[in-house]
Amino acid sequence: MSIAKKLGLLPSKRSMELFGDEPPLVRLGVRITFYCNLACTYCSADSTLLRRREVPRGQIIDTPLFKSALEQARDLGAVVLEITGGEPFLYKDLLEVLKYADDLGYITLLATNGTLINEESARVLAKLDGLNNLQITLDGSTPQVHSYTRGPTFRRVIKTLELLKRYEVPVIINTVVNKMNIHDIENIATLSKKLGAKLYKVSLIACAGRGEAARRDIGITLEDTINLAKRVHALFLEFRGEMMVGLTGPPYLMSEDMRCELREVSMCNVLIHAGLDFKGRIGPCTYYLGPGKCYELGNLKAQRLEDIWYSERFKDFRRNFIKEYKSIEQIPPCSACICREECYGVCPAEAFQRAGRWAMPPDLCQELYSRREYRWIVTKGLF
Amino acid sequence: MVIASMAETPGGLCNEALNLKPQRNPRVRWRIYKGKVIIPPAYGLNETASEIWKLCDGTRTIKDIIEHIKKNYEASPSEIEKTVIDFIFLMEKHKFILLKEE
Repeated sequence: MSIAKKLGLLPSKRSMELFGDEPPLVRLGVRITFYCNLACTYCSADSTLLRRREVPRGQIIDTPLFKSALEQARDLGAVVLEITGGEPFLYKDLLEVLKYADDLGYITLLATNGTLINEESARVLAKLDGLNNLQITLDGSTPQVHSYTRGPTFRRVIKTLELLKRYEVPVIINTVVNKMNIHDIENIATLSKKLGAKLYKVSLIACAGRGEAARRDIGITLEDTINLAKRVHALFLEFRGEMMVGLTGPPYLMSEDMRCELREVSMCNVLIHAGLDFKGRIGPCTYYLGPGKCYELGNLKAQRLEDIWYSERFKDFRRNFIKEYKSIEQIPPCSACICREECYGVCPAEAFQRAGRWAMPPDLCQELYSRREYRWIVTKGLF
Repeated sequence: MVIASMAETPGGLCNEALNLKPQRNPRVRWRIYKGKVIIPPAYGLNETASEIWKLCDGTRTIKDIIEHIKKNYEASPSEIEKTVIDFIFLMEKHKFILLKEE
C-alpha cells in the first residue's frame, strides 16, 4: 500500500472513505440567483436576463440565511465555498458575505462575468486572504470573437481584469471553447498572461442549461478536442512558472503534471459537497437544484443543515451514487480508463439532469473508446 | 529536491534533515472533522497523519515529531520513523508543508 493511501492522503475520491457513512461536508456551493445581466449562448445555469435595475425579491439569496449556512457548514467541516449564479455581483451584500466567509476560514471560489466589478469591489476582494479563485470568462482575444457567445462585453471585461491585476486579486481566466474561438486559444492565453491571470483554463461547453443546444450548434468535433488538448498542453509548457494552464475535461486529456497543478480547482467530489440556492433548498450540489430537474434534500429555512446532511435521504443519495458509480466502473470505458481512480465519470449533476441517473461515463469518453483509433487515449492517457 | 532525495536514501534521513522544522503552509486552510484533518479540495487524513499535521507548527524538528509519535502510538520505532518522514515529504511535495532549516 502506498504511503499516500495508508495515510488517507489521496488525490481522489477514496480519501473520504475514512469517514464512512458520515463524511464531512467539505465544499458548500451557493447559487445566489438565476438572474444575470448577460445572456451567454451556452450558459449552463440557463440564467434569466435581468431587464430591470434589481433582481425581484425572493429570486436572490437572503443575507442572514447565507451567513447562517456558512456557520452551519463550517461546523460540518466545510472549508471551500463556491459562489455561483446567475451573476453574483448582482447581490448587493456579496462583499459583506465574502468578508464573513473569509473570517470563518473559507477558501472561496467565485465565478463572475466580470462586468459589474468596480474599483471599490476590487479593493475589498484584494483584502480577502481566502479568495482563491475569481473566475472570469474571456472567449476571445478580440471584441469580435468574444462577443459571439458573450455579447458586446469585451472592453468592459478587459477593464475589470486590468483593475484586478492592479489590486493583485488572484484571477482565473476561462475560455469556453467553441467553433468560433477555437483558433484563438493561443492568443487568449497570451492575453491572459498579460492580464496577470494565475490560471488560464479552457473548458468544453457544459451539457446543462443552454449548453445542451449550444453544444450541438457550436460545439467542437472529437478530432478538434484531441488537438485542443495537445495545444493546451503546449501552452502549459510554454507558460510554466508564470501562469498555470489547464483544460476542464476527462483527466486523461492532461499530463500528470498538469493534473497535479490543477488539483485545487478541478477536483469535484459530490460525496462531500452540498448545494444551497436562494430559496434555501439544499441538494448534493447547486446543479441538482435546477435549471431543469430539482433534487431537494431539505430546506435551510425549515431545518438545520446538520439534520439535512446526516438525514437518511442524504445518506441514501450517497449510497445510491456509490452503488451506481461502482457499476459503471465495471464496464468500459470506465473499467479501462487510466484515470478511474480519480474520476467519478460525468459530472453527477449532469447525469441526473440529462438521464435521471446518479452516475454515467462522459459522452467524450464513450466516443473516444468506441473509436478504435482513439481508444488508447482513454486507456493510456494522451501524454 | 535535494531533501526529497535524501529522504529516499536507504537508512532514512541524515541528521541534518531530521533537524528541519516542518511548518504547515499558512496559505492552506484546513479543518478538523471528527478528530481527523481535512485539507481541501478533498483530502482527509487518518488519525496518525492528523496528529503529525497538527505537530507541524514550525517549532518542532522532524526528530521531535518522531519522538512525540513514538510516545503516543503503539507501533515499532522504525515503522513510526518511516511513517512520519514519508508523510512530511509527501506533504512538502504537495506544498501543504514548508520545511524550515533553522
